[in-house]
Amino acid sequence: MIEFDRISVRYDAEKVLTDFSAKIPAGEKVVFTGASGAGKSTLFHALLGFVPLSGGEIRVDGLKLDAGSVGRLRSRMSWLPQELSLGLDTVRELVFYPFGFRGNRERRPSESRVKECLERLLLPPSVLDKRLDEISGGQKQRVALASVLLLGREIILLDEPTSALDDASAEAVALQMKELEGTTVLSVSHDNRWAERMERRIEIIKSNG
Amino acid sequence: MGAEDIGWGNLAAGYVLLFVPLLIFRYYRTGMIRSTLVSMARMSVQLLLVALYLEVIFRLNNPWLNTGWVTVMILATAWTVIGRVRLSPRYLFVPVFLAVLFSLTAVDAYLLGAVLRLNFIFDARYFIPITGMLIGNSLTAVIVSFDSFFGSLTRQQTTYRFGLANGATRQESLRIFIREAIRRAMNPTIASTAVMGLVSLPGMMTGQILGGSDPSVAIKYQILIMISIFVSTLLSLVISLNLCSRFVFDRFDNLKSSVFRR
Repeated sequence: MIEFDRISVRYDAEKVLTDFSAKIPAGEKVVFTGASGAGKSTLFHALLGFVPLSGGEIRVDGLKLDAGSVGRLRSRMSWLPQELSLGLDTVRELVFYPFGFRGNRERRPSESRVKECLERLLLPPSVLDKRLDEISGGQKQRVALASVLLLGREIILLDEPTSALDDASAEAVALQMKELEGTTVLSVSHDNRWAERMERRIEIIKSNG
Repeated sequence: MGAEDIGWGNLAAGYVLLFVPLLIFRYYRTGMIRSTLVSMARMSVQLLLVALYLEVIFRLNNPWLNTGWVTVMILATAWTVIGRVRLSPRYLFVPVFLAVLFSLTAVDAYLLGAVLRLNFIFDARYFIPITGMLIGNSLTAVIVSFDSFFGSLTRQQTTYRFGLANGATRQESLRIFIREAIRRAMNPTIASTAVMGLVSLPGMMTGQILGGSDPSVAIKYQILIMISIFVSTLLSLVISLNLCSRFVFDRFDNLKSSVFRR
């Protein structure tokens, strides 16, 4: 269970989130919607400990997010930002990038498992041998998603996961999410088709000031 | 045999050359006349003062005095780095000072003690000019690496956070930025090393030849100096970046905003 308990975030004088509350049971697939600047991405940044809370609390299975617990909580999550530039050259490097970290080495997937995951996201297995500048934005987005999915974390955070995808690819990605039993998937999206495919939609209202 | 001395009148004649850039600056209204005159005046006064105290230091040749002077140079280096990159001295002064001190001690000890086999490694004639050259080169590289590291960390915050959010430790997440900083700082050194002797004659070698040394001896010193500069520069910047990254992040691994001077 992820609990956002009356959380507020401000950047300097600007209020980005004010008294936001939500409870998300384990395994639920949720989409956060709302106007630009309403604080949807900030919510993920707050959950990952990247921005300080000016009020309220975040708890995951009762464990409060603070400096002492942030490492443990991050290790239960994976996050795909809307735009990602890692300075890598090939698709293979991108897929395996998180598995180069010491904490993930034991989870390094086999080649066949990677190809299977890519196929489920409507990517041909041969894409693994391509350079990143040879594939489209939509393909790149799904390759990065595959990398995050293969980590097998219990909480997955996706920021605008369909921003570069056509309808068929977005459908395939949504299907993958639904099949992840027991995995909590939180997403932020402007895409109505995506929002309709998730189990619950939570609207974030823009703070004043 | 030493180089011919230059009379004060002849030295003054050398300044006449400066009329050329001053006229060009004036013609194009570059606004650089004042800064040029100030920098030339500073350079002249600083070097004349260096000559005075080097004479004293060389005459006394006292290990404590020599080491003290090198320590002052390292302190000045750390201060210059902080000033040039607009970062708060609170977090960075000590890491830069310690990094440069360690690099120079290690490289000086090996070069002067093990390679040149000096009986007295604090001999001012070797210790001060060689350490000075190592410091000068390290200074430039550390500034470039800090610019690159903090600049890209600020611009590409998502890249850093992606690592943290997907299982990386802070050091693992920073590796991409340290790698880029090393590339940017070391590439000019690699490039200038590759063309040494072809398109540039290094100052130390030229100085030795003017001072009456055999060119073959001067070249051997130059080769050792180039290798030492390369090693001490790299050590200085890698140790500086790794040490300072222990102080500039908060307990959530976020870069402290107080690192940047407003």
